[in-house]
Amino acid sequence: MAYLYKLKLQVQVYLTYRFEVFANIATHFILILANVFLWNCVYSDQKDILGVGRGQMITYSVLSSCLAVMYHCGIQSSLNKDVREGNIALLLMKPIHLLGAYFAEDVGAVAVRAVSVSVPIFLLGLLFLPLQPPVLFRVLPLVMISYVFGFMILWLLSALVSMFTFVTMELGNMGVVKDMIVAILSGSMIPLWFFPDRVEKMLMMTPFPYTYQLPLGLYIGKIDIGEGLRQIGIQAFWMLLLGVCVALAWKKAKNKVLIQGG
Amino acid sequence: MEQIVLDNVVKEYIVAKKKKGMLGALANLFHSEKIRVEAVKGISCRIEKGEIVGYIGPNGAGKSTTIKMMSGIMHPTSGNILINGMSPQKRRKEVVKHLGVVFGQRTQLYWDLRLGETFELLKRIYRLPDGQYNGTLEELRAVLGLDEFMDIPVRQLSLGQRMRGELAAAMLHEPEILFLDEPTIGLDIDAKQAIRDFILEMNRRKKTTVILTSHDLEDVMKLCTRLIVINKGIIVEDGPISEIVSRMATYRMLVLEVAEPVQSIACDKVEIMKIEGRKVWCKFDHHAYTAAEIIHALGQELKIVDLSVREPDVEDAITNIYHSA
Repeated sequence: MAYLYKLKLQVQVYLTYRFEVFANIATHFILILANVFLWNCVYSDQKDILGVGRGQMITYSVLSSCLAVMYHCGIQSSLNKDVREGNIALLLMKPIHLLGAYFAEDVGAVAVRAVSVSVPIFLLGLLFLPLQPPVLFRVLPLVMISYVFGFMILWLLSALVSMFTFVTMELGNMGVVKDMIVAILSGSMIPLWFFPDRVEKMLMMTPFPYTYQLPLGLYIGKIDIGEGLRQIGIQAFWMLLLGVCVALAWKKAKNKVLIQGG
Repeated sequence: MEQIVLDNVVKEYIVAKKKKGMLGALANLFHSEKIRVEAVKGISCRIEKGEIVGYIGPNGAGKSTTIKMMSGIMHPTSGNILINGMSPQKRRKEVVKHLGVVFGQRTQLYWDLRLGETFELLKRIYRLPDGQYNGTLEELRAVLGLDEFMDIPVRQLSLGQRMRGELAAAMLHEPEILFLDEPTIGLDIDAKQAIRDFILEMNRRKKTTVILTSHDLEDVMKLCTRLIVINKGIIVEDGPISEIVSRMATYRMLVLEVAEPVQSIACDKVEIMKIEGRKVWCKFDHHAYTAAEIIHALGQELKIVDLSVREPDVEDAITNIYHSA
């Protein structure tokens, strides 16, 4: 299968840059430390804020970093680059589905990043930081499912944003904007329950909290199994909606190449 | 069998016209004027299986637009294209299975991995059975001498090696049609020769139809039997290469070395191109006069020490076509 082989090649590409792997672990770990200091400070005279303890919060933020590494959407830069440099023409000349190829590459990258960066960070966290195991081991399958769905949501969003650039061709890379929005609105840095109630309610109507906050909340026990299942249902809804949008946008973007010529 | 048919193909682009300066740049953010550009203005041609066709023209003539339309990755504004009897626009995936492409300025090889990995990937993309893949690869390895660098990462290959890799990648699925866009750009003479030999070999063995665009006229002369010249979106010449050359290059160049410096020549059968001390370049219409007549006429007024006659070549013919169109 061509797609599986593309996935495998991406793993190999990543492994050729061994130095980057170590640099990645180091930078992430420093970021995590900064986060831990911050939360320690916040919790200095309180044991519990809104029902979440210090250990839970630190676990949340360390895992958030692990998750960020595994939420890798290379399509954002690769599609842009291929259009800008005109390689898209060569790629379209292959009897293969281009989006499928990008997806395969990203899954490959995620697999290798998970093993080479996320796992070491997690282990370092267990050794040096007050990282907690999940409240209930029964939630782990749900955490996994919500991670996979969360990845799909982010990937489809990235695909959509990069295709938007593709159609307009003049806006530059909107991906950076998207990344910022995701970072703030997904609860990856600060969980949304710290936001004012009305803002939190509004944000829960966007796809963003279902990428970070859902799997992390499940893990630390802030979101119980019933609520988790409900939110996974919402994830599925967003996945479908974004999937349809991507399919439509792809058709349009492809026509644009076909008619305007890359 | 007619493998490629183009009927009155037109391609128009809408291009945004940008205003100048800082204010203009700001204005462009909101609105930019659209202008219509005709890149290809109604071209028709037919190419048979097994032909090697030189498709040439100056930059911006519409060459790559035509190639993109033939491979289905661009739709013509009007007109018809058939590849193997199929429309590449309607059945792109089917058509591209039988196409091989090499763009000299681009790469389809995996930059960070050994060359062989790209071939393995292509094997899967084109769903080649093991037997066929191994057979073709074996053949390509021998003809292109790939063995010495099969296991080296592509980024470490020399340009010549990389181009051999690109050609192998394009031929791996044994396409019936091969589009080559500047396949020898930037290569040294040996590497160019190796690429040319390979193209001829593949054409001979597999009857691959080759469409070659190149600014290197030596490529064209050594490979092609037929020439299609496009300029400003129109086909201006289409025919056997020798015919075009003899028709377009009607003049021969005569280079004389004379005993004493001259200022001008009275003989009206030749046109003086350049005089440099005792060297004179002049051209004459070789349909009107023979070289002997010219030399005889010139000999009457000049003391010729040495002379040479230059044959017309593709370069002259093409320069002529470009400028006359």
